[in-house]
Amino acid sequence: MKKIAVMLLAVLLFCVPCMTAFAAPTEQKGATISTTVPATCDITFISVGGRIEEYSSVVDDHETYDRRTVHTYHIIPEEGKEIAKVLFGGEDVTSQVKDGYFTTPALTTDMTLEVIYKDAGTPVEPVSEPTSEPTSEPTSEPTSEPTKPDTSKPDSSKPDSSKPDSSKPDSSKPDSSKPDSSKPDTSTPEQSGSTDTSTPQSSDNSDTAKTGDTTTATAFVIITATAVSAAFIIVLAKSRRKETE
Amino acid sequence: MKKLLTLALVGAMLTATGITAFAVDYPGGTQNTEITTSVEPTFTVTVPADTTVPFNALSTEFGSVELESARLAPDKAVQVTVTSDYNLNNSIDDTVVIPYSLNTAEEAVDADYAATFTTAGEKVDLTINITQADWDAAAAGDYGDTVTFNIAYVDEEL
Repeated sequence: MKKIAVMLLAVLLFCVPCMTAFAAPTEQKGATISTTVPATCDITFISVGGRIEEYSSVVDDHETYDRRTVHTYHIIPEEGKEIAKVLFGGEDVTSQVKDGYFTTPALTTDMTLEVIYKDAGTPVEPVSEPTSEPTSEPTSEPTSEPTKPDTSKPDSSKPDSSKPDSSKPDSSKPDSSKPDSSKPDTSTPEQSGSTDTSTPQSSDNSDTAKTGDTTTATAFVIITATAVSAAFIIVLAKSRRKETE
Repeated sequence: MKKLLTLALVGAMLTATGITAFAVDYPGGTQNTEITTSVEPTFTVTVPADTTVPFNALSTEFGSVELESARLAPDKAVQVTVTSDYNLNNSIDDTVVIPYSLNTAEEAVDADYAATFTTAGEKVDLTINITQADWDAAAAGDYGDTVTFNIAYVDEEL
């Protein structure tokens, strides 16, 4: 039994240093990517020359909603005005306004709803494409039709070319139609583009893998292990022989 | 006494072995002595730091993988591979994910990707990309994932 133990020890002594010497010089380093998806979205309303209602209540300048919800707004121009253009997230959605009602797509990010009015009867200006594309495409078409069509309002889609366009929309806020989502999130990458410069020898956070000429070291380790094992076996054998005597 | 003898024997064996291994025999006459040395290869690789992706950002700089300094053997190279499942996992329910991709200027980083460096200063810039559709579909919450960079000293492929 003792002999077996000795042999095992010798084999272990012989093998372990070798395995270490030939270990693959690969190191691993991890980096974490994180993000936060907000639970709510803000809608900013701009409506000079009329009001915007939701559930028969005039909306504030900003409203906060749960993300991925759909909302229907009633756009009500002031007396003598009519809707000229409706921008949602910078995108012209005038054609989606039915009888003064506009239904948003499912909200996925902060948006701005801007309504531009003109004097009733003035011709509709050609709708220009928004200068900035919205950052998010609508994920679904509005599914709910207006429940309270306002039939008393003139149909703004019918141009009346008899009047000049004297009531241009407020052009002093050119950026107001831009979606809020275009603003960069304040939680910018902590160290975007930065690197971990730890050096291999002095840090646990090392990114360095070192290898060397292991031939000499390996040979020495093998010889040493063999010698130690042999010596150990001899000594144990001798001591056992003496004990038996 | 027995222990002492054992220790002495082991010590003697060790010493003798060492001397034998490095001994040079001079039987007389002309002998050539070979002088050898070895320079251990060393290198430093930097990898991207932890990064927070802003909400709705389609492309975010992740940083660079760079061979910052290197003393390599002529036929060797430093190879960096990337391991990731390419999903940002929700902190509450890890089955809820936001897919993302890692890209260099030239190609997508996947399981087959390997950046091979031989000269100090070589680097690869990485970006994190998430599509707008994936942002729109994402449930609210905190997400995270760990990207592992595997750095190896390998034979240079010529």
